[in-house]
Amino acid sequence: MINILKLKNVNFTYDNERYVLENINLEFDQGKLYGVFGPSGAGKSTLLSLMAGLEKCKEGEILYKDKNLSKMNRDYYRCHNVGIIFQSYNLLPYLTALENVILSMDISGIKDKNKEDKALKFLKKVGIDEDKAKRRILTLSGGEQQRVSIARALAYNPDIILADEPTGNLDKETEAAILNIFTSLAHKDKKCVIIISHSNKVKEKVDVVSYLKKGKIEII
Amino acid sequence: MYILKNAWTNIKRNLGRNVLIGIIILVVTASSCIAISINTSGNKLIDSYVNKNQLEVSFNLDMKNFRQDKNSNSDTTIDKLTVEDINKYGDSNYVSSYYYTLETSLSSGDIEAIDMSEIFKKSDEAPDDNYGNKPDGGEENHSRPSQGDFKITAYSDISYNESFVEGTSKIVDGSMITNEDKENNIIISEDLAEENDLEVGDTITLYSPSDTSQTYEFKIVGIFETESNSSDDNFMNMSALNSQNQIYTTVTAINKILENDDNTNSLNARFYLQNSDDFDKFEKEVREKGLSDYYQVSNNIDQITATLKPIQNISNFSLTFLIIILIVGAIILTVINMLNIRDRKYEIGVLRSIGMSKIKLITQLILELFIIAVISFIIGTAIGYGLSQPATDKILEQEINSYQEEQMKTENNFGGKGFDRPNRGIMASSNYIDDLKISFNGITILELFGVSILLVIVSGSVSALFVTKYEPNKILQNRN
Repeated sequence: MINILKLKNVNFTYDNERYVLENINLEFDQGKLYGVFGPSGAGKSTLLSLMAGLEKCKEGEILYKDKNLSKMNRDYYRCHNVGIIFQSYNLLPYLTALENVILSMDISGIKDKNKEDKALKFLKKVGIDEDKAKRRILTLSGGEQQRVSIARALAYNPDIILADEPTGNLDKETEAAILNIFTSLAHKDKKCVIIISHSNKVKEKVDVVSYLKKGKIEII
Repeated sequence: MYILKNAWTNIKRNLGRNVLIGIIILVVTASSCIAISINTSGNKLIDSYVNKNQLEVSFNLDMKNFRQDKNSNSDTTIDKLTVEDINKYGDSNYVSSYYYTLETSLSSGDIEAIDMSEIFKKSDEAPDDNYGNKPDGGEENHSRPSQGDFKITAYSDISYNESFVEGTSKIVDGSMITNEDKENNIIISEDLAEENDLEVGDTITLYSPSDTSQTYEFKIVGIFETESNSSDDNFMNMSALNSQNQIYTTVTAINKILENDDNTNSLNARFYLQNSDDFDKFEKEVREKGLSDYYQVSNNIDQITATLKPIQNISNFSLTFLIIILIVGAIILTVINMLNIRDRKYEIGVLRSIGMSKIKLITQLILELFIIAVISFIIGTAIGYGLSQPATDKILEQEINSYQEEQMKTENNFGGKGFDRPNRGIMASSNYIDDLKISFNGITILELFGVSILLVIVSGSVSALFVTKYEPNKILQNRN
């Protein structure tokens, strides 16, 4: 197993007074499905933001393939190395599902003449057919939007998939389907999939469980 | 490429708002087009007019400066200008031509000067001719220099004689004296000739008002009619100031008079410059050549541009208008753009979260504005081009009308026409230039394009500021 993401002594504070994360040490390998659990306010989303490069790590180090994330171009990291799936999907509503995926490919600089075909393939992989792919985001259901969000994250073939409460807004059936996609991505496609959640269903599916309480990792 | 595609998608998506932005840029462009066209054409016309009418430079005594120095040092004197000085100053690379006039006044026992006071039947209370030096023993006022009844003027180049150039005087009998004439030849006014039964070929004798024994004989070679007989010609009953008592002679002839008595002479010179921009250089040169600081070096730029006053005014107005419209346009666009960016905060957050760099995002936002600005620029320029000439004609007409109204008011205050100030002819309403042809060239289009780009940059910088300020994580967290 190749170690792809490493957090070393990571501390984080928003206001320089109270630490949201304290002394976090975690390692993530390719081909595994990870779950970070904990109650609301434990610092799960902040941890994801740091690993996604949305926030800058002020104390400690986050290493992507042994390269310090703070010294990397984090925009480049976000559109090449890590795919982010948000609880509220964060898709552009004025575009179709297909256009959302293609936009992600454009931002990452993929110069492929068959971008549309590729995007349709990714969408099909997560269960969105061509007809739905050409529909505006707001005409799709929550589960479908989450699938589009996964397809968008996969569009530029990142090594790491970060998902923040990906099943939080979904019914049980859809939740199971989405979790199967994540399992497949980790085990079949050898991606490093990290899910932030407090769902027991997710806990059952993941390979490695981390528990975050009051900004500290308690149980691994 | 995808940035352009995104920009175009967003323009279509927010059509209403973008059409509003487009209309604002269109109005600003069309207004700027009119303003720049008027300003450019106006300035061009003024420049060409100034160049066509060569700048006339003259020297005038700075009495205020002199008096101040005189008060502190009673020995202070002014070196009188001489013909040699004028020739020295005229010999300059900046001067295309020059001339001088020599003037004196003489009296006569043979002929009578035209006396306007007799024509107008002045009241008994009116003062007598205190300043004239009557040959029949009229009282002499010793506080003033002796003044004859006839003003004798000689031009170094008679072709510069303003009254003949402007057409207020015209030879009606005989011929004009020439520059080569070395005799005591003169031309006199038709009224003076009729009053004294004089004809071409007659000889008259004039004498110095300060020394009656000094007499000079002149031969009449020409008679001219003059229109310049306005009431102020007889100011203070000084006959010599009456244009009908004006006598023109040769430089040779007047020099003979001045050899005997140069107290009464006055020497005036006019220099015409090759280029109106050389005025300062010419002034520096004449100072270096010895022109006293008590002489002011002045030019007639105000007189030249007086006829262009309405054009100058609308040219200046157009510039002010351009600045105002740009400021107002920039403010409105900036506000709209600020609201636009606030509305698109979520979109900015999403794009940043999936790795779009700040630079690319700012480029996209500015590109959206740029596309709208280019479309508005093309339409606005076409509209502005179409409206420039009619708008200019209308503004110029109103401007001239307001000047004419002002002039009429002044005339009415005096009780009617005929009270126009002397030497104001060039400023008279009939002389105002009332035709300003709008020129529209590549430079105007470039300037307009610059205006549009300026608006895009100003309002686009707001986008840049917001995008720099927004952190994707915060935007998305706040929304969630």
